[in-house]
Amino acid sequence: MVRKNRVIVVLFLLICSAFIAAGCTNEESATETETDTKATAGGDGEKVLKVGLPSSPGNIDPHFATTHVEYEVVQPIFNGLMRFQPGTASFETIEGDLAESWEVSDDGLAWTFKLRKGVQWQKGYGEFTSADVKYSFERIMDPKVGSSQRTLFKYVKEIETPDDYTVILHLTQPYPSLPVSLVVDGLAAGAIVKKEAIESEGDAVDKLVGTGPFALESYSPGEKAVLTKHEDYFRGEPKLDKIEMTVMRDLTAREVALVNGDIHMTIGDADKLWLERMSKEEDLIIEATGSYNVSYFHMNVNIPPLDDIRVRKAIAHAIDFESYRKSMYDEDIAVPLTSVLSDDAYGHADIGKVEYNPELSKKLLAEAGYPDGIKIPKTLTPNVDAYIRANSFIQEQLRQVGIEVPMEQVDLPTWIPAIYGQKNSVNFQTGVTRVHGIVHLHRVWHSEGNANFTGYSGSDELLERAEAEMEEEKALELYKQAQQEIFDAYVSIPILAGKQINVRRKEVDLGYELKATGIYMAPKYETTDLK
Amino acid sequence: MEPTVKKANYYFPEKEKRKRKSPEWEAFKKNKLGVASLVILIIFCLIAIFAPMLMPYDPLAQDMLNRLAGPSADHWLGVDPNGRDILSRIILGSRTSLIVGFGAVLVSSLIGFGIGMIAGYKGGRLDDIVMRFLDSIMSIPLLLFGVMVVVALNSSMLTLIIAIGIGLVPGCARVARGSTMELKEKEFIKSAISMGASDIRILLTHILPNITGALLVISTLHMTTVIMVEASLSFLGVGIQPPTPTWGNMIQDGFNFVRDQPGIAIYPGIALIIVSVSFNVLGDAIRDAVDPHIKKQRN
Repeated sequence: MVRKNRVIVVLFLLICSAFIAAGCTNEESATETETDTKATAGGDGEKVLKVGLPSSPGNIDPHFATTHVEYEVVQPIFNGLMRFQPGTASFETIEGDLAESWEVSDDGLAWTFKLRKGVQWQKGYGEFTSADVKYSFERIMDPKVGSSQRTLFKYVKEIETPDDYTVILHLTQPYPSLPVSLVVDGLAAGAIVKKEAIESEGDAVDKLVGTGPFALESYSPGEKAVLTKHEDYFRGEPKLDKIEMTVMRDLTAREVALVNGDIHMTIGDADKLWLERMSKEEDLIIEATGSYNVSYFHMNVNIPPLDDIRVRKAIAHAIDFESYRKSMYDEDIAVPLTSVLSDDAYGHADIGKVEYNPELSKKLLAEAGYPDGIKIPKTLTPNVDAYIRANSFIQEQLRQVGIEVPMEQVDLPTWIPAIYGQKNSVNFQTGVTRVHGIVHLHRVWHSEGNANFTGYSGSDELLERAEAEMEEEKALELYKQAQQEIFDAYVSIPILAGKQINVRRKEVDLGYELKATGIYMAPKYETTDLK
Repeated sequence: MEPTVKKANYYFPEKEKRKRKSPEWEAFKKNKLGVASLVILIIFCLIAIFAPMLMPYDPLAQDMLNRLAGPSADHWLGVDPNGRDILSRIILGSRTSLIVGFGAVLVSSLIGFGIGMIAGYKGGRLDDIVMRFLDSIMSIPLLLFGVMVVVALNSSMLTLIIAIGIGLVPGCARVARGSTMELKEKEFIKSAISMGASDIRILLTHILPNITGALLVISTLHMTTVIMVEASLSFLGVGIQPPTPTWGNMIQDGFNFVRDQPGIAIYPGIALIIVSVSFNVLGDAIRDAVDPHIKKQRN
């Protein structure tokens, strides 16, 4: 017996030393990779920009992309008719991309675009013409195709192509915010795809051909996307040879990889402690930029008991979002929301805040007929760290007033259809405001909006009127009314607006000054380089 | 004349037997490591039972302004990323681990031992079919099996217990079958058969009591497996759902803060290691005590 125990002890010690040895070797190999990467960046080898994606992209067809990691893959491959000036993301800085110039008729019903000449498709598909624009937009509009961007083109009646370099969009009603539907960088909207490629037999690599600076070389869902430079890109040959995007779900893993130089850029965490720690790393550049990531707590009005506004109000007043914001984020990283729109969105108006008042909550619950508390149908939550943290907070706050919210963790690709299909009872959700107030309002709170998670339809008429208003002052007034109406309906509680944390290694030269980005990571253009 | 009644001097073996201590228990008591692990496990069971009285704080209450605070006089093991007391969560987490552990082992034992004994006793084609079927279940890794079942149904404690329990049935069935087959050839079973005892009677009164040792060993060792699998599933986010604390999801909570506050992930990890190692050592000790081969060496 005694001998046996000794054997166990010896084994245990052996295992311990094995772990220690493994730890040491890991460190060594990590430094080796670091020098390797630096050598690659040094110039004699290929210049490969390595990006860590925080979750796995699913469908990267630009007309179907819905998550930010999908946008991330789509951005360098495709162009739209318009784009944001590099490094910006606002309605005012939209400029021509594949369109050189455009004009709008006086009645606002016809938009004429003059296209750029000599733009080459990737993979030898020839020159870009107006027929490609017509095909792409018709593909988005075709209900049979089922694009997630159909609502962005809902007022387009007809696409006319008088010659190879002119496109006229005829609308059914004035729609001054149309440019937002045409920007790929950051919004992944209205990407121009190639008919012959899309209709070819093959996988994503064969079908997804664009005019952008980088072409899709290989794609394995859930793992990796590799892009190679498009030498005939119309703004000049890209400086990078390749972009490798690898899925690294775990924040700690991305962090270590970034510090060791295994990846060059990734999405940071806005959490106070994370920023504090990472800002000590000398090789990293951390920039907090717009546009704001806006977090809401959505409640589905079609799922009882949430169909009762008193219950929704009770929930809204029971959660102390202000203390959540202050404990999680620095004051300059996350700001409170005073409306359902963040203040950098075009058309934002100050409406007010939902006050934290648990006593009022209990009273409202009692009035609604639930004096002993209430149980809300189960909600799915993505297994993303920030979401779990926020949901745990909300769950606990609601428990304090007697509201029980069971929650189940699922992966992002399971969660997305659940919220877009309005199957989830309540959602903590974070997303980028679509630059233009009315586009965002329509997208999230119109009954036909493609990101309507709440089933709310109470402001349809007002939103439609606001959308068609050509006169700026009247339009702004209507946007304000709409924000007020949605705010008062207690369907989506505005929580906070957080800056995006762009983190990259010093050797990455974006080629432009980063002030804001539509997606989470800085876009990659032909000017992006590794020093 | 009165007939004298002779008092027979009967020997009552049962009475003395009751006083006699079981040799297995005696052997077990000599194994200090085994006794220590038994004591540790009893302590953990008591902690789990009396968890609400022992927890210094409400394990769900969040003190957001104090989040990620290190160990202090107020919070002995510190505070997690959601501002919850880690010690309280570990204490309540022991409940989940042990309930899932005992539950899954109960499920696997009831089904597995039953099937194994019947298969071993009957033999022949029934034995072949049943055991090949169980082998095919065994070929699926337990963790994968658990993930599949939980994703297909939903992740509640009951599903976890059933999923892991069913995953362990083949292991239980094999042990029960092997021991039964060995015993089946013994003379006392043959004599029971010749006396016309029914199969059920033989299985329950003659075979089962004689193989309990082996079954106890496998069940104890399975406890370790179940507890680790439950923790792994919770760590992956498919097991017990928040806010219920389990050691697995506590490690996950602390994972992203390993560089700030390693304790958040380490303390529940230590609890997990203590309990699983204890069950393992206990299983070994029981095996040493009941295994007839070792018994022979001892004598």
